Amino acid sequence: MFLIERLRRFWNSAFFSPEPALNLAFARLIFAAHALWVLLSRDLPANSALPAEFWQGVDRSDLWRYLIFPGHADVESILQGVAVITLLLATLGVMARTACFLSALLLYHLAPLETIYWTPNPFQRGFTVDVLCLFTLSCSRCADALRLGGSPPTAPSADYCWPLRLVQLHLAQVYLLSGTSKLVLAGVQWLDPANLRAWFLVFAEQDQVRRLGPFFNTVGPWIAEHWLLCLTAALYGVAANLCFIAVPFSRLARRLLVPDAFFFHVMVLLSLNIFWINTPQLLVYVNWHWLVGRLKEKLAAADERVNVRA
Amino acid sequence: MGVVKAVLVLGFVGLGLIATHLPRTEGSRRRLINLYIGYTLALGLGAGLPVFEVWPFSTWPLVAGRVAQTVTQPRVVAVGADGQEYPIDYRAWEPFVFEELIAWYDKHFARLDRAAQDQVGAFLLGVIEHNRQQWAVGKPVIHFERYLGPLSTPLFLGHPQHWTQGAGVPSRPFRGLRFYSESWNVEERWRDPSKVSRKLTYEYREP
Repeated sequence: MFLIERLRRFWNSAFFSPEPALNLAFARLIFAAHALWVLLSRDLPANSALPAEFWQGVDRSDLWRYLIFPGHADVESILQGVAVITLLLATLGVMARTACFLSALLLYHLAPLETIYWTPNPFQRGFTVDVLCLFTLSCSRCADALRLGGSPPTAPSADYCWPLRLVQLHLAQVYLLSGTSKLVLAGVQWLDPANLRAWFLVFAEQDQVRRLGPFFNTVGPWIAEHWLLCLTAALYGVAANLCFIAVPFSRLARRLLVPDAFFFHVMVLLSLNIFWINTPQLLVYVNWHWLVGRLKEKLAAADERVNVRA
Repeated sequence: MGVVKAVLVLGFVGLGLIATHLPRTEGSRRRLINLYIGYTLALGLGAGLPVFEVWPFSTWPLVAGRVAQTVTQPRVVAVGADGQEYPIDYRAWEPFVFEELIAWYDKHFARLDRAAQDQVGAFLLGVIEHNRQQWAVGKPVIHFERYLGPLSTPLFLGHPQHWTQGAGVPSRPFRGLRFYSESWNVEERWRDPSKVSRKLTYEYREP
């Protein structure tokens, strides 16, 4: 009973504590703007016009799952245009809940176009977390702040807490599952320094997968030459991934692991040439209410000093 | 299976809508929100932990396997009228993302009959040659940078920009494509970059 009571308290504290409206509104802004950024950087409708040979190996049930009917690039272009509009509305906070819902629905359909001809799982192309978060935000009062033509309510509420915590969890799960998938697919042997060395070398050897610049293609091979660094990278990578699930629930974890995640992505970019498209979404862990309050205080203090001098 | 996955995602969407729109009392609302959160967490972990995707509840197997001793990768080159081979700038494949195309080639191309393979070859050559012509006259159309220019989202993996660096855009038309399968031992190639074996797996020549 004691354990159940403690779990109940933890659950209520995690999901139903008073939370400022501003933090949830920033979550809406971050995920809608991120989805818009990725959508405007791809040409998803064009894939609908691929020749029939590309669709031969696609499972029919996957086409139904995403309501994809090949050969309708014009329709897909219209849907993409609608998605751009709904994402803009969500970003601005205009009819935000409806806009978030429609955006998520349209992205659920559009995103798989990028990969459907060889895999129905378009993860790590930029939209996966956005779709989850936009659906969740559409169920919340996500436009009580940061919206056109309105002012934020002053009272924090549990209504702003559970959706924010859930979208933070959608992102934190990415790190957790990235860690567990290594252990599930390769076992503890994934941590073998020889395996890490091979990963660094194989990325450095592929001239077709390379970013040009003085910072790239040197860090990975350098780490690969040091057994202890490979072991450290393996342990650090998996441990940091697994621990990240604590971030939505712990201020200490947020302060340590969010900057650490940013550092991790920079290292991955430099050593493996992999750009983590979700990196800007880490901003959802910032306490914007506190940050904006501090900035206002500092500005007010600066104004006061100017007035005194005058 | 795809339909089952769609139903599971529909459950996530539907429960969220029900939890926030239907309840008339605070108590029933809280219970439904708890159910929604529980369902979402269970689906996320249920899909992720056994590595069984129900996109957008994904499994995120990033750099997750063990590297085989011998690595195999495809390489595609363009062929001129004189038979000379040219590297292809990754942006010339757009609207394909290069690694998606390569993944499709690896998984499905060999299962097509020769006529279908040639249809694909002709289509891909058309994409590449059309882009080459635009680049050659100084009017490149980079699909992915149409709206945001250099501020566009970078691709997951980086690729060399063959047509804006080094020899630049080939001036003569492409007449064919060659698909190679390249294999190498990771340690051997690291010591000697020339230790790569290459096998022609498919060639398309314009009729």
